[in-house]
Amino acid sequence: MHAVQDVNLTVESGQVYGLLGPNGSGKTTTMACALGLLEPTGGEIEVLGLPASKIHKSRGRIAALFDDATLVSGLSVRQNLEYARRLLGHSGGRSVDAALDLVGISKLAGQRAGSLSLGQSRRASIARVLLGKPELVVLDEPLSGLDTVGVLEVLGLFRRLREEGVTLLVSSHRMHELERVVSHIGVLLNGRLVKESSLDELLDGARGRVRVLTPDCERAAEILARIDRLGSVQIAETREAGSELRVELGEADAGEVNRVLVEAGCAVTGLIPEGVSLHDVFESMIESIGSEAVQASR
Amino acid sequence: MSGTGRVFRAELYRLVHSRIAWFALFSIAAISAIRVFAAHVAVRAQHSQAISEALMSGRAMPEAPAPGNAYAPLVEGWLAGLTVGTLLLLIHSARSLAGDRESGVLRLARTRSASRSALVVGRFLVGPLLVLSVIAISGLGSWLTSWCFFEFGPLVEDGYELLAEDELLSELRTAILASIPPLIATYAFGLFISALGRTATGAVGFCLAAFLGFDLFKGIIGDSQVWIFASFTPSLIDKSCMKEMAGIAAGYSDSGYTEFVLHMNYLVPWPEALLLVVVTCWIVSRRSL
Repeated sequence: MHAVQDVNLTVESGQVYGLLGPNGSGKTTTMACALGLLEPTGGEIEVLGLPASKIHKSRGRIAALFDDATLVSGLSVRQNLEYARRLLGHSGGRSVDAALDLVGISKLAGQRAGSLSLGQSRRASIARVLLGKPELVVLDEPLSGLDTVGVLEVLGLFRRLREEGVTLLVSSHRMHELERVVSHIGVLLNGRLVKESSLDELLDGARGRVRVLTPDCERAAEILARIDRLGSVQIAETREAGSELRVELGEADAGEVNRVLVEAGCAVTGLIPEGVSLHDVFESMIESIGSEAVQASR
Repeated sequence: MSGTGRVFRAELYRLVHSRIAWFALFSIAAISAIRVFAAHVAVRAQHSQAISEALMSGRAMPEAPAPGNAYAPLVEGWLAGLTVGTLLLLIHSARSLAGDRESGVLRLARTRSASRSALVVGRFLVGPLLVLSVIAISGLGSWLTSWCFFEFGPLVEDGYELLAEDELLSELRTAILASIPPLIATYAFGLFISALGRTATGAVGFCLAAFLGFDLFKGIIGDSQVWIFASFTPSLIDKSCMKEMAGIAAGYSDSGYTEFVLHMNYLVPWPEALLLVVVTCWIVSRRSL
């Protein structure tokens, strides 16, 4: 059994690449293989022109943070970063103070790592990988354990890194947040890369939704169900004043939905188009591939 | 600087700034000092017993004991510190790779600057420094306490000088130097187990069990034990050169290593340490980090 198979993934310089997938889909394994931490049984991996097995020769151009990474508990936050700086070997690029400042934990510099909260520890770990001048930063679930403020700050940090030209490969379950920063998306399911595209392409190609407000909800649902070009039609809410239908547009558009209903004599009191989020796309992708396969991957 | 050098420097930094490391060193010194102090208390207790017996029987009070020769308690104290130090060295090295794999430190080092073999060799190079520190700190604790409660000088029994101070110092030097190679090999053994372990706790537990297990059964293998580095390491069931030195300092005529055993003590641990490091590098090169 293979954790990942036939994964052909390319991250171009300057991209913020989001790797998505349910638990056990192979995100961490893919990242570990790419960084030479895990020996793949076949295939080729090249990162910044180096084979994965020689990745240490990049001399600090690559930095990675995995979900299970912790700080050295006996050292302070600053000492943890100093330790990492010594591993890096040269003092060029971002200093310890600058890295602490960047993630907003300068005040915690003298605190023992063992006494930090999960969120503070996470930020310190992120600061640790930002030492020097990494060109590629690989982050496995970097938002886990962070509170809302922490998430916003880290997302802001990602934007800043992107502006600096740093390439980011990020895996996360928090798609609403990830959507704000990624430029490209790869979706892993059952160890296979089932989708890879830019975020814009992915969202443009996705089926939109429209909320239809009508006093005769059941009839409207019946009429719309006859149209093949539409996706699913669901009764979302029933109230005295009128009901709400949620319609997946498929190949049709909101205007066509309105026209069909009006022509059939069904009153439409409101038509509210809904934007498509990354989460929606991911959800529909999982549905289309089949929940059985996803369950098996878990 | 090479990856090995960077790992070595980083590990050294971690040790120097680790409170636990300092506490461990202090503990070793304290154990040595307590062992010497216990010897002093034992002499005093003997004197008190003699006074008590004199009072009971109406005999003349015994004279206060002379401070006694410092070399026997010095070596006993030093040996006690080294025994504890050996176990702490094992714990440190066994935790090293396994613990850093668990915490992601190996991944950090691997992706940023160090090859897999550098992760092992850089850590191993810290070993000799730790061994020297353990020897020095246990010696210091023992020497200071011996200096407070005993007198340094030649070993004299019933008015006869059994060993001149120069000879005692020479034997002591030999015993200390003989402790270095097996302790370094012991450190390499800890790293080897660490590379095999899935968790730091498991690696430390297995390492101590293996080391102490060998201690219990080394008598069974008889003369063949000279081919195993652990036979020369200060331990709970001690047959090390330092243990023999303790006998010499106490005036036991049958103490001391034969030339052959001393020769093996100096030679055997080095290739075994090297072999353990090479095998550890191989294991780390095959395992996921």
